[in-house]
Amino acid sequence: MNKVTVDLLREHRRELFSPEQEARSIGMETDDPYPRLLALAARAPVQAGALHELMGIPPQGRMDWPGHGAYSLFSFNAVNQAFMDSASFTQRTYDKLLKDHFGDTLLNMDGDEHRRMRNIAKPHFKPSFAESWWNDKWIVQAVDELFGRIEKAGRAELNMEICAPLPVSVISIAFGLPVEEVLPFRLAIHAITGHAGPDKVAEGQAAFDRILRTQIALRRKEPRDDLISRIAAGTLQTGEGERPLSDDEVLRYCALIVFAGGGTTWRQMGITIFALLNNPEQFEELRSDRSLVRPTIHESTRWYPTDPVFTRWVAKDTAVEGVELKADSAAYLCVATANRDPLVWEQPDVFDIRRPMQRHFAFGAGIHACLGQHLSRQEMEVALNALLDRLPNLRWDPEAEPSRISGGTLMGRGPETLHVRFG
Amino acid sequence: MSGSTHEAARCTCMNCGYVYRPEYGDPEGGIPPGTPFEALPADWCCPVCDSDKDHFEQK
Repeated sequence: MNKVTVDLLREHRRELFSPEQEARSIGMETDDPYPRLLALAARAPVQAGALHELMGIPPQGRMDWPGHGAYSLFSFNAVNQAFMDSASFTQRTYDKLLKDHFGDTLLNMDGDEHRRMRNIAKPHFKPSFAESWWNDKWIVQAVDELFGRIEKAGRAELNMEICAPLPVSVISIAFGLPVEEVLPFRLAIHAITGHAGPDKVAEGQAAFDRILRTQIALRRKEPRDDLISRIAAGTLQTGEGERPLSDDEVLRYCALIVFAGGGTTWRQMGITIFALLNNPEQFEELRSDRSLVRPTIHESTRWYPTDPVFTRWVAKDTAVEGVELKADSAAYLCVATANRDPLVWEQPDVFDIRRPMQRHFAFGAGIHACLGQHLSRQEMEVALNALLDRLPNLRWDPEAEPSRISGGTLMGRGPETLHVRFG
Repeated sequence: MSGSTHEAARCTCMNCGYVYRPEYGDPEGGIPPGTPFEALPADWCCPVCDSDKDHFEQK
């Protein structure tokens, strides 16, 4: 059977999977945002001002719209309203955040255009498809390979050996990329999004185009059971009927999915393991009751979502929690504080895998909710079960530097390293 | 309708926690208020996370 995973240690690719380096390379701060965000949330559920201004820090990355008004939303109800009212809160912020990198994608589309485009990939990311096609064809083998590499060693660095390689391998291979193209493709995305320096963007774009266009052309001639073939076969509903997707549209779709699928699951899986190792009694509870695996993932994403903030554009005057938001302003949806709203959760700062089921916003919500969320949960579920089955007596490595969560203050947070021992 | 009957009729998405309330329906998904969960079309899915109907449990 052909290998489906990359070996990041052998390839010396730590710089691609360090949340801290990733944030610093584009000038973002890396401090823990929670103390300041929770203090702001305690003051009022909705406040005028950009989130970085309220926090007293410079704009983070591209999350700044000078010349426009700005509001920050902190409570569960406020964030929920913004996510669920897509007519008043649109995706225009992504024109600045991502369009330069990947052109028009689902993330910066609204209304019918978004619905029609999302419908193409939606069947391939539904829970039933994640539990069958993704799981049986890719995830189980990938997890088996990765744990097979470490299980006899007695120690490992799980960020680089499990959390990072699993999602980037699964999404890339399932797309139909040959395994030898997984890292070049990841490097290209790293460069396109500015993490390798401004002089590398064009180079990244060229590599990205070369890799994907080659595969799209091959699948147009000879479809296979992979995601490029499925998306390339998709048809877009238009006012005049249906039409096939152009190569450019397929390319942008693939770019977005690989970009999104490789990063968030990696960091969130690390956060989940980090939380469990710091709460060994809950880890033991999970070991003895596997029905808690899904609730554990749900709780990890509530307690510490890798992206603490989402953005929306206020398209029309709207009242939220009694505050009038003026049209043509940016809205910062603070998922981190909404997920710890004391009106919704008891002891919200505590990681507790036995909490009653209650929705939260780690994957967004509403019509723009993360398309890949079920795939992400499935990967984490299979990996967590393997962690419990194949790494007995798992614990922090007492001789290694203690693990810590880093990354951008407002995006892309996760553990730098997870040095563990087992057996 | 009593509160307890309302409670019995609600269904929760086991992936995201969204609660389907028959008294509200799902207007954005074309489901009018007053539609019981059992009467939702087979292809209806969670308005928050796209989960299928069979991922809902009565709570």
